[in-house]
Amino acid sequence: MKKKDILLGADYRYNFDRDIYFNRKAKKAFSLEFVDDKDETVIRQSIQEPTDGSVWKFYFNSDPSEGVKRILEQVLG
Amino acid sequence: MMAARTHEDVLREQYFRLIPDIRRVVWYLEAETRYHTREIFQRLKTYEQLIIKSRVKECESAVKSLRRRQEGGIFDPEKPLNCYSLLDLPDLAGVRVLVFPRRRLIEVDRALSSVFTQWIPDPIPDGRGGVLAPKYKGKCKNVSSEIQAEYQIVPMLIGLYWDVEHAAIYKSAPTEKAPRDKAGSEPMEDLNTRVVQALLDFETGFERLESNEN
Repeated sequence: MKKKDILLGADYRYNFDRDIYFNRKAKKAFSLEFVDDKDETVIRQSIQEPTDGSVWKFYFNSDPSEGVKRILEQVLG
Repeated sequence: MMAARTHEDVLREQYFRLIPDIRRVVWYLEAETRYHTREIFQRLKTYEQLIIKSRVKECESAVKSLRRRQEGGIFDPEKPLNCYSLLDLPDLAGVRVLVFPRRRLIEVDRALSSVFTQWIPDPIPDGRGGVLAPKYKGKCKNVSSEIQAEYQIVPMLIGLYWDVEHAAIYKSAPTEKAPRDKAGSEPMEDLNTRVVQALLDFETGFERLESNEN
């Protein structure tokens, strides 16, 4: 199964402008670079990783700065 | 109070500093391409085509393209201004050679790669392990040591389709959000693959006809 299909199967949508997969309900976002670089197991584990759902969790290769997080949170709603 | 300058502001300023050089590179690259494909052009049969198009990347397109190269598609507001540069883009200047039928593509590719020997191949894949269109990136160093350029040789049917598809997805946005969602959506990806395949099938069918006639 392609990594993209794993994410789409878990109700993630692709934001074309930001090149990220996101799920508003889970409040998680994966950068394209992260998805490209990590294997299927990591993607599945990250999808299943429990969070308290109060703030967005970003799966990026390089940790996004607070400024980047703020902008993405506005974009993702 | 004046609004604080953003990365975008700084990059737009850089763009207008670079534009004379970008134009010179495009002019040079197009001239070289025309010169080194002239013999192929002169041998074309009446129904065959070889068209050379050049373009200077537009300012907003360049800024957006650089932004989308950052993880998350965002210029980090916490990074210092001037930390991003349009010179990192590989295609500020570009030339596209459109050819029909496909066998002419190999001839043009051979002719140009013997001229641009230092350029790095960066082919556009066909999704099945092959090459849809050869593409090269490099610099025209006798014109500019900074500007990166690219040239690509594309089957004409595919190239003309790309012109329409690219404009529809990226440029004619009825809303900010709708086309972006469309482009990344499964149905659009699937349709795109089917259109490209149909055009390639036409080329293959035509090649078969040609070889039967010879």
